[in-house]
Amino acid sequence: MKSGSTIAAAASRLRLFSLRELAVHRRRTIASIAVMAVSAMYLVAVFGIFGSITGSVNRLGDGIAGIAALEVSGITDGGFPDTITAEIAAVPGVATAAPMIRMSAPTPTGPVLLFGADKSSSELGGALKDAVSQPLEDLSASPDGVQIGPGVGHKTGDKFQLGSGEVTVTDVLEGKQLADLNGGHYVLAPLALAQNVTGRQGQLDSILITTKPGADLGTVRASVTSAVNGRAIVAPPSMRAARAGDGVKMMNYMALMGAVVAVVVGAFLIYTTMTMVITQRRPVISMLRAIGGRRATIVRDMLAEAAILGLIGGAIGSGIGILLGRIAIGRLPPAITQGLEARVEYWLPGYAIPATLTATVLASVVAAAMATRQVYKVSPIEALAPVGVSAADRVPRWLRLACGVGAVAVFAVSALIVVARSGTIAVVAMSALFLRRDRARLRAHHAHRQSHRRNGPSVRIGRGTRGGDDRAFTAASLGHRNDRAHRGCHHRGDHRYQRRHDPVCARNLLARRGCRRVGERRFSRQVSHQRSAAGSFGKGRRRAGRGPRHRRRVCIR
Amino acid sequence: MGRGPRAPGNAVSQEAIIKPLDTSDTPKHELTIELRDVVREYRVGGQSVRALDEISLRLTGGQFVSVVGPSGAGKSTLLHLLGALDSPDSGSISFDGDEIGRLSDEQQSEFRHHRVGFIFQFFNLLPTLSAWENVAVPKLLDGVRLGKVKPDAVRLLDRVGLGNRTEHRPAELSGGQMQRVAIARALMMNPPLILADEPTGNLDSETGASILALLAEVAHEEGRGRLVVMVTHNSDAAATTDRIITLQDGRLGSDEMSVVPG
Repeated sequence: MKSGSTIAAAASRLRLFSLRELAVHRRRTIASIAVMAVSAMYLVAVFGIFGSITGSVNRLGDGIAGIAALEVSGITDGGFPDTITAEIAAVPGVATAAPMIRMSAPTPTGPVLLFGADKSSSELGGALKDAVSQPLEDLSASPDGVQIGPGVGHKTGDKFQLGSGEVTVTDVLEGKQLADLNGGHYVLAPLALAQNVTGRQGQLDSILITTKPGADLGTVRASVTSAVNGRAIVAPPSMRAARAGDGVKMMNYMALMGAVVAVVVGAFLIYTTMTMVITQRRPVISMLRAIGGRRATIVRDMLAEAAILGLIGGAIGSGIGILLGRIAIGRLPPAITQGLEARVEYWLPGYAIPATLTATVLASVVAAAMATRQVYKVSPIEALAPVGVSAADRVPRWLRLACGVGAVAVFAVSALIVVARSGTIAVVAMSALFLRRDRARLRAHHAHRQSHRRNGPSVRIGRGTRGGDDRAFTAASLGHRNDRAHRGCHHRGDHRYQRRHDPVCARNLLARRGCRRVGERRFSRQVSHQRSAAGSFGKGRRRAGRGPRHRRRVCIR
Repeated sequence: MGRGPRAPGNAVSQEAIIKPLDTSDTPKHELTIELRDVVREYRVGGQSVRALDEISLRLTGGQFVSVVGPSGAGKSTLLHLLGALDSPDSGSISFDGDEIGRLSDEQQSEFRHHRVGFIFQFFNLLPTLSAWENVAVPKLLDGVRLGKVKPDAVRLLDRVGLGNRTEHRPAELSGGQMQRVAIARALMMNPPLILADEPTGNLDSETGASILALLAEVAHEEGRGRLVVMVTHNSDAAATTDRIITLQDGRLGSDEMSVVPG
């Protein structure tokens, strides 16, 4: 009961805090969902394409092999002599040895899978059991008679060219099992006819073996291997599908690697987005912390939000991935399909969607978890104080120095490369870029100096503050974020949003505009007062904060 | 209305404040907060600055107390310490006998959640939530589902005079109405202590007066023994409170009981 109400409360918070924010910031939400959708699409498409290839081969193999425990297959595509059949049948423990031709044969409408089998194949209990046992007796009346799957596209009595001979359709096989076998695209012929039309008289492609009850499979396999004596391969029937799968395994791995890279890139974007979200929601987080919200609760809610993004993205991407997979299967290059005896039908493995959704949700949550570490840096005092008091706002001197040195190094290396390669225009452009950045830094520094001169070294004292110089410089760099008039605004930097959703902020913005135009006194005083509220210790500072110089500074900003 | 004692214009020394105030006409189970020799220092530019310098105070429930003083006098620091947003470097803060000066972060959160209501200068309402949903936020953090909280939230909004604005979002409310929503939110967990940081700083004088009246009503509510502490720069606002504590350079400047008009 307790856990139920906790979940209900978490759902309420998710609906109020997260989903509404996601709805407000549509473009960001769509971007996050889209990147996860692309990852999921890629994953599902890869799972679908390669699942279809191996799945089609497996289903065909299983459909034909039935209960067969062993298969004798040729070392090469040329097959092996059919005399082996009798030798294998004589091996102790072998119940059935069903000889078979199974290969792709040309027809005027394209290649079709040809099965050549005799009545012994009915003992296998596979998909061809009924087709092989009854109609073959009737085929003696028609020496060129064949049965076809429903997908071949001929009617009973039709004649068509199959390999080197003309055959007559005696029956179109029906029933779900027979229709599903290779998608209904196959021809079932008597063994001798199949050998004749393919020019493989006296040769076989496969002998499927069932064992007698109680026979030890290992012993039988050893005996059969001994009987074959190196002329063919003895293996479980699944070996054929495994070999087909091996052919595309490399491509499968490469495609999967690509999909994983897409997921990682998606996770990186989620990380960036969540970092942005936390920065934007910082006033809300600090307020929640101030009124008693636990960090763990806030972090959990944000992770749930990320999980929802991953889930929605994963679901949308899965749908698109299925569609793309189907399209891709219809356009597989011959390099992939020619080595396969099975017709490749689209088939999505059962694990594909759950695995994809798990991957996208997990990637999203892990990325968000890395970003939500910042929540632990948000102090509840920020709800009452301007940005700048938290430890999270401090930029260590060593980091600033390191960034500066790094930037110079990157510039030097870039310049070296560019000069060595092509032209000076690029160097000029790069210099302009850096100069612009330096000018911005100078402006921030100038603002800091002004602030320092007028208000003294201190802005406001709170937990985790540093020296006035650092704080003032950071504050100057942060621009209007340090303006206490903006503390109530939940979406700093997005003035349109502020005007829509926060009338106080909107009023401040409008007032500021007015201030710029006509130097409105009321607003200047108001902001000065607020600044002095956030000001330093000492009596004189308050007066300085309300003085004309301070007003002018606000107006200039 | 159960108001605290009045002692107009009698500035009392720091030592005298430590003594219990005469609370004969206030409810019996009232809140008592006692600060003893509280010191809070910050490092500023490599120097140590005392924001609060051995402050000793006794605050009792059923009162509307204002804290005034120039910028940097330590008003906000005092508010932070009273609300367990910060911890003192030395000294003790006793909240109904419980020491709150040495709580862990989790304990501080728990304390703030159940025993303190905050009212901010800029309201700090969530712009995407309606008025009643904003009021319900503290309960949601307490693991209560939204549907269950709504009646309480609507009742509180009705109490602060916004019964007909429950579904409005902050953008559709005036500054005074937003502050009323914030007051309702502060009352949601029925805390014994309400801390207000410049609650009228962003309002015009008329609206500010109505907010102050509401805060006084909250403080003087019969049988609650609730303490409302307001930090303000506005001497007119301070004059409406039962008690005015003036801080000067981190020290207690004066402590006066005032007469509230009406």
